[in-house]
Amino acid sequence: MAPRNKVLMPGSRAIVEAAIRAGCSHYFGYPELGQSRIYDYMARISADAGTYVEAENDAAAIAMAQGAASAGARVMTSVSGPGLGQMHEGLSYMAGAEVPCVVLSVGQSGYSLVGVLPSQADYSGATRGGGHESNRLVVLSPSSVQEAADLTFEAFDIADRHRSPVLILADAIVSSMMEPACLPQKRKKAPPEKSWAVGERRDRRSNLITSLFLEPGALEQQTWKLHEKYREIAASEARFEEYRCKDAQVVLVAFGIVGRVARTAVDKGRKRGLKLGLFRPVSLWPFPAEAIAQHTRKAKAILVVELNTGQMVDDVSLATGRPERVHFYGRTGGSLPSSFEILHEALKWTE
Amino acid sequence: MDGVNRQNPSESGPQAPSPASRARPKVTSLTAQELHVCPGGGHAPVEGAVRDVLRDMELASRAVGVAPVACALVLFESLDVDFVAAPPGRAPAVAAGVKRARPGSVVFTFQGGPDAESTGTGDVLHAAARGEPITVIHLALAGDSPRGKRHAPSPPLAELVAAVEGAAHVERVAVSDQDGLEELRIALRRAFSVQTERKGFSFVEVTTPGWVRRGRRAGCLKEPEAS
Repeated sequence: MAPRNKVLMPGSRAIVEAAIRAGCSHYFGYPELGQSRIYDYMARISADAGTYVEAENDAAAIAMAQGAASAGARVMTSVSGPGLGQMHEGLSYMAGAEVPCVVLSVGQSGYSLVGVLPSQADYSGATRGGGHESNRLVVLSPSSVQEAADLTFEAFDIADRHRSPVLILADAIVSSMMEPACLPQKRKKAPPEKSWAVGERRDRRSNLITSLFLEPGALEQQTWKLHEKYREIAASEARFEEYRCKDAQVVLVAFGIVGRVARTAVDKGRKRGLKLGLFRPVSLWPFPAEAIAQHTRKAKAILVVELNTGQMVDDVSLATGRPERVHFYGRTGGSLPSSFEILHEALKWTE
Repeated sequence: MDGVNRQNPSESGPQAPSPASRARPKVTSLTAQELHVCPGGGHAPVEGAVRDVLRDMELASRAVGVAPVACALVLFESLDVDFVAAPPGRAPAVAAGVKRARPGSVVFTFQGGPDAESTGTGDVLHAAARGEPITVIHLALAGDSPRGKRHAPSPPLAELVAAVEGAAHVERVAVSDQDGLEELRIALRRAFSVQTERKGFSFVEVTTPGWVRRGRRAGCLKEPEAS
């Protein structure tokens, strides 16, 4: 295979190009500060015979995505920060009705109106389903422009494979920063036919896409069915990166852009003779529980570093099995820790 | 999974009621499910009119209904076309998404009372403003919806939609007898034709009784005291 050229580009452009190459044919979005570059770039989908619609708000955008996805299209929408809250109902409907879709959320700080600074405070909402009943979303977190492209490209296959929405949590820095990256090759094969979708029908029964089950026992049947599906997803879609964990005394656990900063902290610490390692979850749900247990088994301490008040700590404590080893360092409100800051914190747990 | 398991339309299934004036052909767009609608609410005749028009215009095989909440959801128990259940108020947006993905399909929403007048007023107006080539069917209830009486005033939806430049066809029909039902069928035919002829957004508002709660009696309940 001929080597692919690396091109310098922002994360937002890499995400858009990867989506289009993966066969995304429909985009519905509402222009918001944090994801405005994705929203703008995505307009080029119409040059590839795709459909691009400006919705009147985020709730309408996810509803349009639900409609197009129910009709069998590969669909994407994007949102930033607190806007994700407006989409939870639509995502819940899609999860319950088993409709695939890709949502790109740019993590931005703020309780309400979106700011321009980075944040990872959507972790809890995203990984616990965020909607209603017992739904889950596959949640992926890139830490580089290359990974943003790769995960976006893969997300459409994951969504179709499991008939479930996929959420890519790209914090604001990953979406804005520029790095060289290779874009994935355009998908040659058409996406799989979806016999369950709605639309013009020739020789099939009518299809009903619903998450509403009113008959006694029907909803329980559906929730356990989805529960089993989520177990299968957990067994097959967990992703992570481990860096120098083998002999690490202190393992840093961080995702997204913080994972990049933590990796630098590991390198700086190692130069000083400190045995540091990094475990970086790439899938936030399913959380790579088995892998983190394995790679932190010998560590004396685990330091979770996040851009929030410690939303991943419980998952790490549960997975590693010894919560007394788990410690936390966080920055919030848009602030980002430096590698020295993380290193200084890690020093507390080394001998 | 090919959608939710449905019972296939039965060739010997229930016949539509026959007006004395003419014989009706055998129904082919009904399923064999039981219906769950409130007595006297006016839903069933409207549903029947939609069924009749889709059948007469031979659109059933490419029709996609989008139903949000309450009574509208029972539509997909009885009408044998593709359906998507939408969140409250979001049916026009979901319908727009379906239509954009499958432009050859005939996409309609079926929304009762508060769904379009309250929760989803913005969605209806914006779909009209964009000229989405869908058909919105709105049941304007004179009485209650299953959610109970709403006390807040609602805007006059049909008038609002008619004022939007992108709306191609807006019509209101009152249904309380057979003549009204025939007018409704004509209005639905016009609305679906606007869609099939690619003329844009169509809207039909149907005034129906809504749910008449049991135990309520007509008559004067209180009079002013004689001075």
